[in-house]
Amino acid sequence: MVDTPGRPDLGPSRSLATKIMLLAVVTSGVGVVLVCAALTVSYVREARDDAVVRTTTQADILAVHSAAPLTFDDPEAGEETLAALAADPATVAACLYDAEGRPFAWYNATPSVAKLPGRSPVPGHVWREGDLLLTRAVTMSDNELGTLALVSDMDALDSLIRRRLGAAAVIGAVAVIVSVLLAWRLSRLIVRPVHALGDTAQIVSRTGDYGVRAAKYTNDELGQLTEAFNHMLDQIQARDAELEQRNEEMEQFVYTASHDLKSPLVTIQGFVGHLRQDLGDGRHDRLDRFAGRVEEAARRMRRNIDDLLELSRIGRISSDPVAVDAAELTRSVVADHEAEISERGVVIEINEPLPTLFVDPDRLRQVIDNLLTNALKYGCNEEASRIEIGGRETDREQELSIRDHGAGIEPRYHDRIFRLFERLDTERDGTGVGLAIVKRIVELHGGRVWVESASGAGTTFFIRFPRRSALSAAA
Amino acid sequence: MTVSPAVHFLLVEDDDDQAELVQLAFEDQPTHHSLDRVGDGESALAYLRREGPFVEARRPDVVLLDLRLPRMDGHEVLRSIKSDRSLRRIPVVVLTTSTAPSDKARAYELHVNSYLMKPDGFDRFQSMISDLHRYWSQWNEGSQGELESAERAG
Repeated sequence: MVDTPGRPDLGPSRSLATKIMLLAVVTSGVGVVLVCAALTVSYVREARDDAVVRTTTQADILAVHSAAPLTFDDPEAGEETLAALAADPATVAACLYDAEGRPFAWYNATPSVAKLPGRSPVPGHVWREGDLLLTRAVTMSDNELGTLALVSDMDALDSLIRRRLGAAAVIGAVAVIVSVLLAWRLSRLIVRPVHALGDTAQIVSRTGDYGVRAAKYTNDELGQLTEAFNHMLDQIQARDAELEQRNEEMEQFVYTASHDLKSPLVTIQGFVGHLRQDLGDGRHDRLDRFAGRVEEAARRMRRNIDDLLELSRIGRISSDPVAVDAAELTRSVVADHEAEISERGVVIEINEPLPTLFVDPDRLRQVIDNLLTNALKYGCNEEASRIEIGGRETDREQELSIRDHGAGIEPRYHDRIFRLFERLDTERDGTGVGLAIVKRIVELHGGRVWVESASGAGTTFFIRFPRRSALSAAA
Repeated sequence: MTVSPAVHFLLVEDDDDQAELVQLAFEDQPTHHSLDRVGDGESALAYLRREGPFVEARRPDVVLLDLRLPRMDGHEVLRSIKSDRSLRRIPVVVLTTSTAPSDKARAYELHVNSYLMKPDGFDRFQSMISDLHRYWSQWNEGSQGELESAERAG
C-alpha cells in the first residue's frame, strides 16, 4: 500500500476540496458584496438626507437675516450675510435673488465657478451633478421679499462614504478569508473519509485484495457510508473465501476421484501383463488368481463410478420436500435388508415415535439406508448384534440417530469418515462414498450429521434437521 | 566388508492387488532383496519402531509408501518417519496414483526422498520397480559403510 490515507493526491478528491472552497468563497463573497451594496445605498441616502436638513437649516437662518438687506435694497449687507457660509466648507455657493428673480447678492467659496442660475430657481431642492441646489423663499410677514439659493457640494460627503465603504470592504475581506479557512477545515472533514473510501475502492479493484478497510473518521452520513462500504467488503471477502474453499474442495474431489478410479486400472493393467507373461512362459498355476484380481478390480471400478455418479446426482436432482414419516421410511429400509439381518441374527430396534421430517423422501431413504448399511457392515459382530434407531424433537430441530454396539470409531477419525473415499477399514467391501453422500444430503437439507463414538464403545450417528418453520424463516 | 547384505524393502500399501503387483515385480528382479508389506500407516510405524507384532522386524533400507491409507495417511507416516531421529535416515519413496500437485508438494515439504507415480501399463510398472531396485541397491551399497560407522559413532 503506497497511498497514505488523508493525503490528497488524486484529481477527483482534490476537485471536491476545491469545490467546497469555491462554494465558501462564492457564498461569503456574495454576502460581503451584498452587505457593501446595502451599506452604500443606506450611507448615500442618509448622507443626502443629512445634507438636505443641514442646508435647509442654513437657508432658514440666512433667510431670516436676508430679509433686512432685501427690504432696504442693500446688496452689500446681503453679501455680508451670505459670507457667514464660509464657516461651512460644504456650502460652496449661495445667491440672494430679489422679488423679481434677479440676483441681488452672491457668495462663492471658489469664485471661478458659477454654480447658480441667473434667475431665481423654483423653491425646493434638486440634486445635480456632484452637488445639491436648495432654494427657499425669503419672506417677512407673509410678504415675499425674494429667494435664497444655496449650493452644497457633495465631495466631502462622498469621501466620507468612501472611507466607510473602505472599512466595510476590509471587514468583508477578512470575513472571506476566515470563511475560506473554515471551509478548508470543513472540506478536510468531508474529503478525508471520501478520500479514504476512494483509496480503498481503488486498492480493492487494483489488487483484488478484499481484506482492506476504509478508515472511519466521523459518525455522520459519511461515517455510515464508510461502515456500509466496509460491511460490503466483509461480505465479499466472506463469499470469496467460501468460493475459494469450494474450489479447493472441488479440486480435491477431482483428484481423489481420479485417484480412486485409476487405482483399479493400475491393478488391471498390471495383472493382465502378468497373465500375458505367464501365458508366454507356459506357466498356468497363477492364471486363475490373476484373472480373479482383474475381475475384482473391474468390479471395484464400476462401483466407484456408480457411487461417484450417485454423489454428483444428489447436488442436482432433488424433488420438492414433503412430510415424511421417518418411522415408516425406516421400517421400509430395514425390510430391504431383511435377508442379511435375519441371516446374521441382527436385532433392529426402532424406538418410536420418530419425527415427521420435511425432506426429499428419496434422499432421506438414501441417508437411512447408508447409515443402516454402515452399521450392519462395521458395527455388528457376533457379540454385538443390536442396532437401535431413535428420534428426538425440540422446538427448532428434529433428530434421528442410529446406534450400534460394535468396535466404535476413535474420536480423531470422526471428521475424516465423512470425507470422500475415506475408509477406516479396508478389510471389508466399500468405496468410502456412503457417508460422504449422507453428509451431502443432510447438508443440502440445511441439517448436519455427526458421530459420537469411542473405541470399543459402539457408534451413534446423529442427523439433525432444522424444523420446517425454522427453515422457511431462515430462507 | 565381504558380501553386501540383501536390500530390505518395506512396502506400505492398503490395496492387496497393488501390493501383490509390487511383490510380483520384485520377484522378477535378479538381485538379492527382501520385501515386507504392511497395510496401513500405523502398522508401518509400529514395524519401523519394532513395536507389537513387529519386535523381530528388520530395519528396512527403503520404505515404499502409498499416500492414501486408511486411518493414518501416507503424509502423516512420512512426517513421523522424518521427525524421528532414529528413522529419518531411511529413504522413503512415495508410490502413488495421486496426480494432485498438493500431494506431491506436501510430500517434498516433508522431505520425501523420491515421489513416483504408479505407472499404468505392465511393462512400465516392471521397469519402474527395476529402476527403483537398482538405484536404491546402489545407493545403499554406497552409503552402507557410512551409515554403519555413523551408527557406531552415535
